[in-house]
Amino acid sequence: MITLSEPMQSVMLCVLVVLILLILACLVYAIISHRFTDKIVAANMIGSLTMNIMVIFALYLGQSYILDSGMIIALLSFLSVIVLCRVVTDHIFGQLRHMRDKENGEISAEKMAHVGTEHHEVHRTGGEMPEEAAPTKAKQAATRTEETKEEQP
Amino acid sequence: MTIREIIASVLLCAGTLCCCIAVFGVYRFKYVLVRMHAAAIIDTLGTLLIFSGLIVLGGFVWASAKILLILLFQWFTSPVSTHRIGKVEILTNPEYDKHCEVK
Repeated sequence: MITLSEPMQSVMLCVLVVLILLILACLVYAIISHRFTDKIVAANMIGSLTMNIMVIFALYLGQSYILDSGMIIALLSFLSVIVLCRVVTDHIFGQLRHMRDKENGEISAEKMAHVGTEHHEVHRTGGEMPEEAAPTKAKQAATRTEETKEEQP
Repeated sequence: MTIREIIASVLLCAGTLCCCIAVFGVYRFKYVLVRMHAAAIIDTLGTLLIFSGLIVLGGFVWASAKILLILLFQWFTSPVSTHRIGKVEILTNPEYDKHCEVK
């Protein structure tokens, strides 16, 4: 590997710092987004940025073995996204097959719209509770506090 | 600084700028299928500019061949993962076409 001059080293350091700040921005985006596909997109972006950082760092230090680590990070980021999407897709197709077996080959459009959605209801409504679920949750919390009160004396 | 280092610095800064634009676009757009379009800039143009800057800096050595290999791998896998995420989004969200209407 080559040896770098002083200004080139500072340029690479600045680029590294900016990329790390971008990773932090992606992390914040993954936390504040509501739908789970947003979070997968953020994970994909974090993987790509990490790979870029590793490759720049390899030339900054002059050690070529860090390039192999960057290659492995690229592989793992691709694999994690593919496996995550595969699990969700198989879950939904399994639900569809189950309904088809139960209703002898025909699924009404009304039921079709609910496939794969019931677990993600909270995500789609922007973090708020669905209307039926919110009061029951409040009731459960109230009964729970009453029970603890009764138990304490 | 030699001319090679100046070219490499310009390419590195351009790649970092592309990554900044991608993250800005992800914050700015409203829906996942539109956001993926912005997020793909990091995988293609940002990675291309940063890696070409590093190849110019490194010269004709084995490390440059490795960097080229990582770039090719990223170019082949990024569209696949984006396609899978889009498929999951369309399968789980029945009202996806309401968010991205064509006027």
